[in-house]
Amino acid sequence: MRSVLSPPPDLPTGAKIAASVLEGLGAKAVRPTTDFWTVWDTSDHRLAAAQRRLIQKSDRLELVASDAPDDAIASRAGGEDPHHFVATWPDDALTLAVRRTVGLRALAPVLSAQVRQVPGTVVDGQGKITARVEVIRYDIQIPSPTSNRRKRGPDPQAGPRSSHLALIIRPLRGYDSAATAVVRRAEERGWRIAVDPVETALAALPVGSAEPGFADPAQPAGYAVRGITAAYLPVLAELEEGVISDHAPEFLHQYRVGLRRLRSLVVQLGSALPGDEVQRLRALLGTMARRTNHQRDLDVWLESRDEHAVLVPESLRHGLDPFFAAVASDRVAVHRTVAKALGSAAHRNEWSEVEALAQREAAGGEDHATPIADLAARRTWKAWLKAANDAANVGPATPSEHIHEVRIRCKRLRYLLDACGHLTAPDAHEGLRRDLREVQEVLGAFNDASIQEAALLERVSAGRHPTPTAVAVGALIGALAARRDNLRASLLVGLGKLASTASRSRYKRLFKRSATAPTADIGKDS
Amino acid sequence: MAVIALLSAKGGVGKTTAAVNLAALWAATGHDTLLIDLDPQGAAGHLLKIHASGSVKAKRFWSGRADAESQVRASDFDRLDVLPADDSLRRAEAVLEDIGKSRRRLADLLATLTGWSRIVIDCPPGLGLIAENAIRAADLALVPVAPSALAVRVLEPLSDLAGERSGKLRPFVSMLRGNSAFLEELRRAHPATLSATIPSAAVAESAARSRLPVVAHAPRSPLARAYRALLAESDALLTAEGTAVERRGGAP
Repeated sequence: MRSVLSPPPDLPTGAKIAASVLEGLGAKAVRPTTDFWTVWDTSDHRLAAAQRRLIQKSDRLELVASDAPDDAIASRAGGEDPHHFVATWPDDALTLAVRRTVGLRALAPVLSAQVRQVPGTVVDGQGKITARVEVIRYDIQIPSPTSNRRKRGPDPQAGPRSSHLALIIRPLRGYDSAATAVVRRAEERGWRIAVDPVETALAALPVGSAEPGFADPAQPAGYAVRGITAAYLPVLAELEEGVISDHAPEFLHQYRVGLRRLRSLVVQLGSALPGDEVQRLRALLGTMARRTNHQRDLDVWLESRDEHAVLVPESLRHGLDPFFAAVASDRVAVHRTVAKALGSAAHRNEWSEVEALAQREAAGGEDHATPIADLAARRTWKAWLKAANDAANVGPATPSEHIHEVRIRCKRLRYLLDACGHLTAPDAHEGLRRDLREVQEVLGAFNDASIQEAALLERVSAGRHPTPTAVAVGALIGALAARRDNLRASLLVGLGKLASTASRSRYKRLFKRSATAPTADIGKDS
Repeated sequence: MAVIALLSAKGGVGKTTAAVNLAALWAATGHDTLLIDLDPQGAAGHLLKIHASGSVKAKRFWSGRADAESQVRASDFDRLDVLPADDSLRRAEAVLEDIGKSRRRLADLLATLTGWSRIVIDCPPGLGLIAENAIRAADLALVPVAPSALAVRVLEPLSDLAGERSGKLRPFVSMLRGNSAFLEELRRAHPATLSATIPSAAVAESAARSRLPVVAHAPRSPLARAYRALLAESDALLTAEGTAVERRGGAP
C-alpha cells in the first residue's frame, strides 16, 4: 500500500524542490512528466460514494478504487472525452464496471488537475530498485457547474486553482522494509502521512442528490420546498438529455417519476409557498410530464412484450407480431415528436420558469416558517387518511377507475414518506415504506392490466389490424381481464391492511400533530 | 492465467534469456506477469537483479507447505514479478521423488497463485521430473533449439517425456548464426516449430552485463525484435488454444 505524505509547512518552493526532496530521501530522480487529469462523476457522486474514481488522463480513461489509485480496475486507451451517458459507451470491461455504479445517470467533470510528477527510485547495492518515490504537484480546479464543459484542459469558467505538493512512496513486493525506511526518513524531515490531495478535494465537493430529500428537520418549510425543487432540476435535466438521445426507455421512466414526485411534493407541502407559485409549479411540471405520456405507454408495451406473449395461446402468438410491430413503429414517430418538444423554445422557457421559481425568496404561504418536519408530518397523516378512506371503500365489485384513484392516493403518501419519512418518523419510515410498497405493487399490476385491456380494445376497435392479430389481441384482452380479476383478492387484503385500525394507530402516533405544537418525541416508533 | 514454460534437454541454448525477455514483454504489454526461476543457477533472477531470500527449503516449497507468494519479488519493471531460484532447488528432483504426486506438484503450486495473467517458467536443463512437471502445468512449452549437428534429435526424448501432452511443445530456433537452412530442417522434423527465430547477438551479452532484458537494454536491436516476434506467435497460440485464462479455472 502506498504512503502519501504532505510537506512540512516551511518547505521552500521553487522549480528544483522536487529533485531536492528526492535527493534528501536517497532517491534518484528520473524524467518528470506532466499530465492533465479530469475526474468524472454523476452530480450525486455515485462513483465517489462507491469508493471509485473515473479519471481521464492524456492517454487513457481509467476506473480506480479510491484506496488503490495505482491499480486500475478497468481502463480504456485513448484520452478523448467520454460521452456523458455510459449507455453510449463501447461494450468493454470499463463500461461494465462504470455502468454497474452509475446506472443511467450522466457523467460530468467534477474535478480537474494538472499533475506534475517527478518520480524517483531508491536502489540497493546491486542497483536493484527497492522503492519508488514521487513528488507530485497537483494544481486542482473545480469545473464550474454551469459551464457544462466537456473539453479537456484548463477551464476558463472553473474556480480558482489550488496547489498541493505530495510525496508518494510505493513499496515494491518483497522490499517493504525499504519503503518503510524512506517513509521514516521523510517524517524526520517534517513530512506527514496525509490523504491524497485529489481525494481531499473530491471529498470537499458539494454533492447533489439523485433522489433529493430534505436534510434539516427544522428548516423553514418555504426554503425547504424551494430547495428540493432546485435539487431535482439537475437530475431531471440529465434524464431529459437521455430521453432526447433515447439511449434506453429507463431514462423516460425515471424522468417521469422525478417530475411526478416533485409535483406531488410541491402540491402536498404547498402551504409553505405562496398559492400562485404552487399553482404555477403544478401546471408547469404537469405539462412537462404530459408531453411524454404517449411514449411511455408505448415503451411499457414494448418492454412487456415477452410477458404478454406468454398470456396468449402458442398457436395464436404469431398474431401479436404485427401488433407489436405497429407499436414499435408508432414509438419511433412518437419519440421524434417528444424529442422535438423537449428541445423546443416553449419547453426551455418552462424550464427557466421552474428554475426561477425555485430561486425565489418571497415569503408567503401559511406554513412558510413552519419547520419542514412538522409540516411534512401533518401532510403525511392527511395523505394516509385520504388513502385509507378510499381503500376502505374498495370491495369485490369496485370499478377500476376508483381503484386507480386509490393508487394515486398511495403514491402521494409514498412520495411524502420517501422524501420526508427520515425526518418525521426516523425509526419507522423504512417499515412503513416497505408495507406501502407491497400494496402499491398489487395496485400497479391491477392498474396496468386495466389500462392495457382498455388500450387494446381501443386499438382493435380502430380496425388497424388483420384478423389473426385481432384474434391474438382478443385473447390477450381476455388474459389481462382474468389477471385483473385474480389480483382483486390480494388487492383487498393489502388495502384492508392499509386501512386497518392498527395502521391508523401507527400513522396517527407517528404523524398526527397540531399545527402549533410540535413534539420532540413524535415520529419515534415505539 | 496462462502458463508458459521454457525448457530444453540441453543447457546454454538461450532458454533463460528467452524466458526473461518474454516475461518483460508480457509485462510491458499490460499482463501482470510472474517469472518463476526453477533453475538452481538462478540466472533469470540474476538478470533482473533479484536474489532469493534463501529461507524456503525445496521440500517445503514443492510440498506446498511454504507460502510461494511470500517469496515473490517485484522486478524493476512494472507488472513483472519474480519467484527467484534458491540453492535448495539443486535437490528438487530428489525431493519430488520423495514427496509423492511428483509429476503434478508444480501444477498444484500454480493453482495457489493468484493475480498474474502470465506465468513464465524457466526450467533447468534436463529431462527430469521438473521438466515433466513444467509440461503438465504449462499451456505452452517453448523449446529453444540451437543449431548443431545433433540439435534436431534432442527434441525426440522431450516428446517422449511429454507423451500425450507433446502438442504443447513448440520448438523455436535459438542462437542462430547465419544458418538460415536450419529452420527448414527443424520444421521438416518438427512441423510445430515456430517461425520466430532468435539470432545469436553480442547485445545479449551486454544486456546480461547490465542485468537487463535485451528488450529493455536495446529495444530496437534485431534481437529485441526477434523476441517480440516470438511473443506475438506465442500469444497467437495461447489465443487459438481457447484463451488460457478461461480454460484454466483452477488446477491445470
